[in-house]
Amino acid sequence: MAVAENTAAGRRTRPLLEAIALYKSYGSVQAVRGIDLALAHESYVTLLGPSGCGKTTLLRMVGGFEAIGSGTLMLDGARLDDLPANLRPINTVFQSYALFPHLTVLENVAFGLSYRSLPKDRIKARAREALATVRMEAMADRRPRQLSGGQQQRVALARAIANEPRLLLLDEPLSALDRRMRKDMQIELKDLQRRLGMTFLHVTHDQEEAFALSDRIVVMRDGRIEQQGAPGDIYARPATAYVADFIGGASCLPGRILGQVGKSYAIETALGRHVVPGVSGLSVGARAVLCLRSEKVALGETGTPAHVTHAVYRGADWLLECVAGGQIFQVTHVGPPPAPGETVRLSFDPDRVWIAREAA
Amino acid sequence: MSRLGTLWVCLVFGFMYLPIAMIALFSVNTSDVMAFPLTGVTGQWFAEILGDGRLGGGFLTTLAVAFPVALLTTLLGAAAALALSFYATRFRVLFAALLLLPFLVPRLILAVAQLILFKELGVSRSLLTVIAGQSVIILPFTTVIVASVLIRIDRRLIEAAADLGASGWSSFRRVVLPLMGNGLMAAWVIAFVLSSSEYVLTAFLSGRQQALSVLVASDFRFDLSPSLNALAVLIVLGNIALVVIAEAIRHRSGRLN
Repeated sequence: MAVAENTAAGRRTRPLLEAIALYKSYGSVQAVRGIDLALAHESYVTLLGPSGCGKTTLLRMVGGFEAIGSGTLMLDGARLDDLPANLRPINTVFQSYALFPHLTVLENVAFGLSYRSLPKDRIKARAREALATVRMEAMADRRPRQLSGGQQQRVALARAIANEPRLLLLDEPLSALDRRMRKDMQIELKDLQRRLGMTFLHVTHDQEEAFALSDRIVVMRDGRIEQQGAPGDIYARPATAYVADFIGGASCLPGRILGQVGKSYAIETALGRHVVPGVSGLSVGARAVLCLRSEKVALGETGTPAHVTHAVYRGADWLLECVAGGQIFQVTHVGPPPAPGETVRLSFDPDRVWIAREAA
Repeated sequence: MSRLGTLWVCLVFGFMYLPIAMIALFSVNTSDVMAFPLTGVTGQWFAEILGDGRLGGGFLTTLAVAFPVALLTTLLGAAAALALSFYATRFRVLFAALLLLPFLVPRLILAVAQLILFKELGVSRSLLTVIAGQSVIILPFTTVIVASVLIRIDRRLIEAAADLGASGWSSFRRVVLPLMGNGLMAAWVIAFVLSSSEYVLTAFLSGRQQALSVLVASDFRFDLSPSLNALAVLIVLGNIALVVIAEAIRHRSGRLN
């Protein structure tokens, strides 16, 4: 066993990064409250949540910029938390890029390499390679101030990957870019991660960004992990009302579980009884929510009567806001929309909606 | 701006610059009495001052004090500013108060107190006592100047340096120090100007070697001559030149950033 542990294959079976029972407080504020997390090799993982959910604190603890309160961090099976930031084989792309203003682009990228015992020309060559990876080699002699936001972002990325870290941390790296640039950078980031075979841990509050990039999304709330999984899983099968609402803004209709039918539950709501699949482990009589995403609800001849309150044109379709049983529903609608005030009938396919827990 | 406002601005600037303009005017006036009407233009007073060996010696003494004072207060001020803005957290307020307090103590009291202390310690008055005394009152200025630059340095840059493998000392040398260079230079120039124009402490603490400010003050009392006007003009021009040179260097390095 001990031999197998030390081979490449042996190491591969173990996660790259493990966080075990991590806590962190600032005075009386608990920023991180018991995080257990494992990052697979060569994966793209995002920490997703609103500001103040502890995602940045978690990232900063992994980077070594914040001491951990209690718990353990392991990288490749070795203790990470007692190493200072400058000795961790981890590099970071900072939110504001944090490029050194007094150094050229090339000097910025070579900064980390200068701490390796490498000959000078080798350092320069590797820095240029890293710049080429993000298509910035033409800007090598510029100063950061002479670059656009998107260009600075690329240089920050090159500076971090030039060191070939075991793990790359990205702290809201796209938040300062405009929408179009953000989309382009998302594609580039994902592409870069695949090409380099590196593990990326990316913090964001933007669910679209998380979906575009991740192999795995970790949804955080109030210093805890609310749910983690593949993007498709999280979207289609949210564990809680919070996740259903935060990811894709589902309408959550409160109800009570009446019984289990195979892998589905019978649920009683203000809009009647339905048999719908849901998270495992809900007991009879438990309170739960029926998650209805706007594209899973349709207007039809039959179904629950509802009043249209708003209709918002979105180009490809309309987003209608309807009220039924005192509950607001969002409905994606293609074609001419009903006018606000009109009564419509809402229906959904029970197999395409989902029951989630009311809270974690 | 309203007419009244314009008048006010003129009054304020007039009050600030008219005396200096007067001195400049009389420094090239032929009469040795400082009174209107002007009698003619001459370079006599400048020639006299430049040929005055006693004042020349005083000038060299001033430099012999100002250079070490500027260097010493810049280094100590930088250390204090670093401690205040980057590292110390617990005693920060107390530390800042102790540093800035000499600024609030009247010079005369400080000078007398230092004189007494030196006497008790058996230290006789010399350029060294002048340097020590001046450093105490100039240190708050250099500290504040350097701190104002340090405060503007993005803390993420230091984190980035650590992230890329820099130890504390290495990140100071390669990131903080280059970025605080302008502040160090500004502090040095201000310290130099303050030291060379300091009178009270210099007068109390100097021994046989007398700095220019002390000589000028005694001349002003006993031997008033228009050549002193010429000297004043030279000093003002010298200080302006110093600041202009420093700003030019700062501007150039600023553009490079």
